[in-house]
Amino acid sequence: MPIEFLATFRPIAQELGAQTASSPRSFDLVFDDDLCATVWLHPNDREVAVDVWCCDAAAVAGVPREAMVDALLRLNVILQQAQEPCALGLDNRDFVLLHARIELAALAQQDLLPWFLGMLDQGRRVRSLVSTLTLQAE
Amino acid sequence: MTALAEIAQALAEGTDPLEPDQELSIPLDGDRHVHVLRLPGSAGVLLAVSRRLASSQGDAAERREGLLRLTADTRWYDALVGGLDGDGAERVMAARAEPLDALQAELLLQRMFKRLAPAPEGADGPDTPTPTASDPAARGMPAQWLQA
Repeated sequence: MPIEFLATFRPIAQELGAQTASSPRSFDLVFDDDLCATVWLHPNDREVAVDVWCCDAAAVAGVPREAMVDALLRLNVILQQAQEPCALGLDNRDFVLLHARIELAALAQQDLLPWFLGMLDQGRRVRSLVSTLTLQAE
Repeated sequence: MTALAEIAQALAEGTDPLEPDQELSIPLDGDRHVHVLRLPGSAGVLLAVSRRLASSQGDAAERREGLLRLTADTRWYDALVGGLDGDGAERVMAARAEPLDALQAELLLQRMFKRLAPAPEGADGPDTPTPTASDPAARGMPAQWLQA
């Protein structure tokens, strides 16, 4: 399955600038605006998952941090109720991440790139939101 | 049978009585609820558990940050999502395909409640015995769904 995964995603990875896979089940991408993303084959082998690393929140503290956390939690409710295939989280390095996944079987090859680009766009919006909130709350 | 087990059994029997996009809130005790949102088509169901706490109660900031970390921590296995609803109640959500297994649904709801703040003082937690007949949570769940 990892080989099939790489075969499926190699054209997309190369089109987006990734030269090599990070592991047999994933590859990393870094964009000009410093947005980073990792594309994974989910451990269930049925889904492809994307982590968009929106921003580093380690330096955000106090009231701005509370405002950021509350806003992202409220967005999660909206995203889940709207059946968007993504959710927002905070990882153990304090990176705000947008995690999205989709069934491989339900996704035609030609749809992979638009879906992925859509998730990147969402990630950029979240980064912008966090930046605005933390500036406003300071 | 516990209240959570009753809800889980009703979930296993299907959410057809609910309209697509209709969310039903089932009170469990004091300030804790189970929410069931039937997703359109065959998309399944969005389950949520919530508890309303004052933002000044306990360490709200730390608790809410824990909910945000929950999404990242569980994304590879349980896929639980932390949230905050429009009324300020803290939520843990999980989307699942139907049909659901009753036991698995009950265990899932228990795990979700464990990720929320501890049960209110005096409550028995997620394994609360079936409430009295006057309690809304004691009504038959499919029938209650129809009342929603």
